[in-house]
Amino acid sequence: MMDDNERDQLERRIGLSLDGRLDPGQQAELEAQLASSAEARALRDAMVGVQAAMAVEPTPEIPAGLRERIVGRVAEARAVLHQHAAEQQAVLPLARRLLLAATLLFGVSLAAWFNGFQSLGNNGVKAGAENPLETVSVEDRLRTETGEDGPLSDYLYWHFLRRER
Amino acid sequence: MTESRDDRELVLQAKNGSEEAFTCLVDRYHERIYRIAVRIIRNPDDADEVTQEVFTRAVAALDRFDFRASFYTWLVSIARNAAFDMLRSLQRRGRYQETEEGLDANLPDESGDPIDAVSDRETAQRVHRALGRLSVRDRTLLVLREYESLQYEEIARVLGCSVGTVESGIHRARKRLRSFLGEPVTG
Repeated sequence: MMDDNERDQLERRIGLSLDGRLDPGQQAELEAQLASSAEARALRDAMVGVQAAMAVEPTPEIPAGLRERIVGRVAEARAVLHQHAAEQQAVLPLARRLLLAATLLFGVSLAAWFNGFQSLGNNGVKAGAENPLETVSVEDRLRTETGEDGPLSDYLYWHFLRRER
Repeated sequence: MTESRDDRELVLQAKNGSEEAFTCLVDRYHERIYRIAVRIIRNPDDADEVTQEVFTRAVAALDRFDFRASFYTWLVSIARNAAFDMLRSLQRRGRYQETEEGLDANLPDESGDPIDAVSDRETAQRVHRALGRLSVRDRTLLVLREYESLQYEEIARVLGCSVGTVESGIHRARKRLRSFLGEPVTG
């Protein structure tokens, strides 16, 4: 008489045998056990019986028009996919153009800022001021404020001191 | 696991946009997919819906199919996911319950020996009920193994688990089915 564990192990091996998953050695071992044990044979017969019972269950009938419904749904899905792909194709160039425009804008801004900085550094006012007479160089301002020429650092030092006062 | 050359060619053509090639694949597999779906879901209308969904998902994901499994195994994976999604949806709406609906239409032909026919009819009903009492996972395992004759490796791929898990699962499912069928096991 097998205990529950032995029975479970045997049932597992019989199942594997029914599915053709035992190697020849394991299969021979199982055959020997079946030949020597009525309990093992009864278990195998019960399992074979379950398989046979499952085979009796009828094959489900295919509903009428299923194929056409599938083909219709697939066509709809394809149309949506194509539309999505077309939208992506439309969006991508737009995104590229926007990126290009943003890059150009950034480049122009950077150039303008750099140019403006340079102009300010050289002339004390933005380049292209409306009244050219108002264009005063750092040196001019330094001369005006201090009455003498001096390096830019002197001017800046003086300028900030005056602001603090 | 073998990939039919025809399937491969059809899939490649379908990937390149051939509707005709994909329709050939539908023709080839929709009945098998429906049968799996109806055996898992156990409701013909819902299985019909799931089968349509399977091919819709397949056409949308075709670009990602990489031939590592057969096209059929890949379809069965989609069917399994779609069926489980459907059952979850039905469960949320309180509509998922085992039912005998549709059984009568699918009973064996009684034109043969009347005694055998009655016996087969009773057996079919018992099997139907017993399968209905299994968990969805156990039922799926048995459907794929017993009705679709998929190898353990293919089932593992479909269910996304190891071959060892499939082996244990099939063993457990058979044991439960046998117990539900009330087969006397005498020692």
